[in-house]
Amino acid sequence: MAMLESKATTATAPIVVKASAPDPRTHYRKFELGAFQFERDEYFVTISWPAKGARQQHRMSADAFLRALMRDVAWGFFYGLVNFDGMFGTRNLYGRVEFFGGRYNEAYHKASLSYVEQFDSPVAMETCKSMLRDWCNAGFDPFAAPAETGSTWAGPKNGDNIAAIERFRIATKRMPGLAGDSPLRDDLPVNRAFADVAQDEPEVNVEPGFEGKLHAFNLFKYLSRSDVTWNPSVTSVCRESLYCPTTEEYILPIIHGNDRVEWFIQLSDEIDWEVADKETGRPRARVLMKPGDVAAMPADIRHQGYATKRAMLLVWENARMDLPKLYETGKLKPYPVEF
Amino acid sequence: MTGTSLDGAWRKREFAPTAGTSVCRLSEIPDGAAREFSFGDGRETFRLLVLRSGERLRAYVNFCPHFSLPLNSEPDKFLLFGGRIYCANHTAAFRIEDGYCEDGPCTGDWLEPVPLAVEQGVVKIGMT
Repeated sequence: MAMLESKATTATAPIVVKASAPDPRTHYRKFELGAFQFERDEYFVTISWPAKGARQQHRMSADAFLRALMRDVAWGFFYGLVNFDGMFGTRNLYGRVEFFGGRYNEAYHKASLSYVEQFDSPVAMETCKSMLRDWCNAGFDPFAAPAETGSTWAGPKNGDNIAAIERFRIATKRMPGLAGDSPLRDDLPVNRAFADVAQDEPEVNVEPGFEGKLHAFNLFKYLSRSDVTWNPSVTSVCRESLYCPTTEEYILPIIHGNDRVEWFIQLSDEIDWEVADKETGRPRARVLMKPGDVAAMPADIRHQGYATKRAMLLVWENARMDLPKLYETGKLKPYPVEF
Repeated sequence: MTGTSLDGAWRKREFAPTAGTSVCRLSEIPDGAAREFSFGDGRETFRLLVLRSGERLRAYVNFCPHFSLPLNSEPDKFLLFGGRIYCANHTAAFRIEDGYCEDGPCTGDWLEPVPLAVEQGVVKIGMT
């Protein structure tokens, strides 16, 4: 018989999202997840959590919160820490997810004003999706650059934009354009920032006997047709090696504290990165990346990028599932090279 | 099974068990549970996910089409809620019934189904 893997999992309980009736003035709902409470008004999202016998409140601009929440949902809590800002965020425990308030803010944590609570990932995900559905107004696309989506996020509730927040996300098995794999985005328009990018595909000529065994596509053309910002999509899968290029404009909506080393290769234009200690948020470096530059973001930092002109960036991820523990236990150093 | 283009795709995977290979005794999979079984040696074993609902069994290759990773991050620990199995990595939600991803980062994709048969209380790899 086959090798049996430890004990079985059983649980098929339905997921319940705790949401209030629409507020009589703003028409937005309030949400609860464990001891966290989330509320939005015309301009702000207020997050609160228990601390020192009272409730600690934290406020974010609603557009910044929704842009960050959109990434956390689209990426399924991503790798490691997704800081919405210097105070609130999530930490992926792969099956469970930790929501935190003030935990990675040195001052708040030292003052015992921080709070952390864990949830099953699907339960937390449903709450996040419900917030997005209720709080994104008509015309507001949290994936888009501000110049493209404007200020439609502000004000009392005004319709929704389900099509934008639940847009089809392409999963690649091996490489775009291969038979049975993801498409080459020919049906999407070239973004306004990449009007000068050549759109021709490479010519592939092979020796007899190799027909159908080689494949190539124009990555710059592919990226020029990206309809989202700060949202990597996989373009090459080789076991656990994932190439995840993306186009970036304005500010990375999250401050990402990866649980592994993450390689960045700047393909076009410029991105200015602010790099800080993952645990405390203390500044560590600023890195201005220009076309052709390569950087390895260490496993013990958090980073946030700024791009005035839409830029192309290749993110190279190692998806090995045992990496977080190897870094946490010190078996791997947080950086790939020692100078 | 699903009638998708992935029917039979599992056979091309390394260490894929042949029809008639024993998996376990039916009694080793509690009702409503998910268990994993591996075939082959080394890091790249064939990982089979078996889910039971009453007398009904479903089996898939334990491989999420989003990032080509197993659905569980810890041995035999699967996320089952409301008729769905969720990938622990990035929360893609698949219908237990047919392996269709109806929510998450690879919506519209499928788990690869593997046929099973039960003979005298023993779960085996099926023919079709």
